[in-house]
Amino acid sequence: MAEPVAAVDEVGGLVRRACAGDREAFHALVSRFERGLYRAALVITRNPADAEEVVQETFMRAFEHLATFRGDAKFQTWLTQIALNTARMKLRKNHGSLWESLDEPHETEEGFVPRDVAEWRENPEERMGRKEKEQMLHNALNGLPPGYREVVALRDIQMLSTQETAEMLGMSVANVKTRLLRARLQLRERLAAQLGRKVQAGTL
Amino acid sequence: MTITCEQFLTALADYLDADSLAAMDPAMAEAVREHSKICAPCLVVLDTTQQTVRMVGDVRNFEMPEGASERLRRALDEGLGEPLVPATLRAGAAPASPRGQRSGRIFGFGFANRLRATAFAFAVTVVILVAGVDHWRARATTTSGWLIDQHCFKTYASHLADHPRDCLLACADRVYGLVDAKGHFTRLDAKGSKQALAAVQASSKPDHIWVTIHAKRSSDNQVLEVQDLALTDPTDAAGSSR
Repeated sequence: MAEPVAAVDEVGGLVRRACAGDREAFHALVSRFERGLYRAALVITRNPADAEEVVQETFMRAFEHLATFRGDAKFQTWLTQIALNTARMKLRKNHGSLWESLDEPHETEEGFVPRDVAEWRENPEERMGRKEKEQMLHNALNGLPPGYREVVALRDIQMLSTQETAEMLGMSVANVKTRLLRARLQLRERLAAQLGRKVQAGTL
Repeated sequence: MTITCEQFLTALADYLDADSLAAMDPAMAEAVREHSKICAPCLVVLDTTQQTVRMVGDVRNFEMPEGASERLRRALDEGLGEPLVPATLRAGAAPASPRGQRSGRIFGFGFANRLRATAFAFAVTVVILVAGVDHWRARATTTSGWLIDQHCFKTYASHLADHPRDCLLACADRVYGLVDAKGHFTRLDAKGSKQALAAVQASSKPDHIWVTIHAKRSSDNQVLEVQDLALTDPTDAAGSSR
């Protein structure tokens, strides 16, 4: 989803000022992008402390290399690329030899053919509290294979385009679409399972 | 155009996203809509997947954890050298770091931080090495060797097996020790010497007095603080330890 032109111009202005050494402008950029980056990093790393560190390191690297930022690229995309690389390094470091390949996710058929086709009679978005909803989504996202979490983080959290996501992950656009659909269908199954349990628990 | 459930599912890859939908074959988009009208399960899948996408999209609007934003600014302050945190926030006590004991600052950025990290790593290494040596020394190990008194060690150094039991008993007022595979003599502590004497007295072996002891080494590595001792048969002419 493209940012409004006014927003892009505003970000562009902040980047130019930050490049010239204006710390307040950099501060404004941090405020604007920290939340999205944290959420994307949390989806990829599955660990709040790691996600915080990814955001810290991302902004630090961004500031150090601000002069190399090409104005024709979207600043958010540039930041997301740094965050993705940082999160991947952190996963490799934390998991060592047990690290699960991020580039080659389990291309299983699980979730591609929906098993749960029951309606969600109650709108979960209306009947759940923020914390409850956050926890449920966190659980569902954590159950995805790493490659699926990455594509969800880039497309659905950071709202990058399919083309941008494909370039960032070094995949074809078709593969991004397929992987994203499978991830979404798996998430749907996981949410349906949790919502189903909640409805049953509520009726007992 | 009529499509199957499988084709419907595959088409969702484009149908669910505005940018892909715009580029989707209009006939296929229409077929998806028509299929969802006649196939209840596919309609449910479409509806609940759209809800899923919406819910996951909301994740980006969730707040950062409490204190995370302040920790981020403090870390950037330290890394970049100038404050990003408003003075009102800086005046307060530092909030808990994301890992409890761990500082929220970034390691690996800035010369001062690198220097501090290197010094810290060096200090930790020294502490670990010292602790490791102490731990190794403090740990009781099992060792075997010839039992002999300090006085006779020089006389029998080349033929320790021949040192007779009677001589050992006669030297009971002297200090007993153990000669290891390298020919090093290590004194037993008082308790060990007492145990050794009792073991020799209880044995009828005329010579070849070989012992296996479980002991800690003193901090200066000069004395074996014996915990257990027994006369055993030498498996070979050399001492052994494990």
